[in-house]
Amino acid sequence: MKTQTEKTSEPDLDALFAQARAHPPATEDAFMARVLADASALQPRADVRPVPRTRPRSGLWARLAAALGGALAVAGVGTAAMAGLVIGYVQPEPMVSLAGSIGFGMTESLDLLSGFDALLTEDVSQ
Amino acid sequence: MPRDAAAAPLSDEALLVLYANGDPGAARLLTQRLAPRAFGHAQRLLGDRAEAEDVAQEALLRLWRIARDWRQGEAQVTTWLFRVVANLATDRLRARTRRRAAPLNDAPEPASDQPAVVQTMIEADRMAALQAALAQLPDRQRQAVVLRHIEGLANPQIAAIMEIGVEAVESLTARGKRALSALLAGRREDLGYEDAD
Repeated sequence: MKTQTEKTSEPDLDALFAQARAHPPATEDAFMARVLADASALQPRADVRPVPRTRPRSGLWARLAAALGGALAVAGVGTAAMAGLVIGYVQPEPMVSLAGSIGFGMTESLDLLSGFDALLTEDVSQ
Repeated sequence: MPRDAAAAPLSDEALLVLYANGDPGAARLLTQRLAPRAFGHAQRLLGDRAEAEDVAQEALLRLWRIARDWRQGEAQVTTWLFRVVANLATDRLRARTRRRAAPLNDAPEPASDQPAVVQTMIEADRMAALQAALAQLPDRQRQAVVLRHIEGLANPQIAAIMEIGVEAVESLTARGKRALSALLAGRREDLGYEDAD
């Protein structure tokens, strides 16, 4: 059973509660900024690792050219090879006469190790 | 496009997961949602703005730290937060040795005859009187009354926050209301209620 005091004051209490609900304590900007700063500072970082920048894989010819010293070197080697082929097949007359005039005639055979046969023969006789 | 707290339908738990995954927008949304509630609850329990800010900031600091390990479905974020705020506030109240709440008679008197200002002062008086009366309640009664009648939580959630049974919550809130009624009795005229009857 309620007392006379409760009967008269409880409606007032409900009104006070309603007013308190309607007007919550206001937060200050500085407080909100501090909380947000904490939240940002302690937030786990997203597990997004940057994709490593890979250079595009070069092709076989590009790697071969790089091994030889670059495109310029490849061009030089190619030019020399083509010149050799041309000279070999065509055998231009000025080149043959030039070789003969300086003592390089046509060579039929060339013995680079002239004493090697005698060495083998001596070994067998023993 | 930045997300708006009012337009975001995500629950606190979902936002906390996003926060733990590194979503910067979630940090802002959670702060906007939870910081005022933590502060308001601390303010009701402590009656001191500076201490309430410290308690709310500390409680939220703990939330940020455990966000990655938060177990969804076990408890609501607000339930956990109110519990931490209440525990921190209780620690502070216990640490107060000489500081006491202002007596009801210390509530300021209206200083102007202008109706709007008078009404504002009356409302301020009422809130000051309520806060002073709350401060005189035992800690558990105050916490239960604030959670039930000011935060507007249901008894089961209050029971979860206070880690007691629902019946104990009902008992605490009933005793708290009776005590508040007794404390505020006789101040009806001072608080501007004489015209309403």
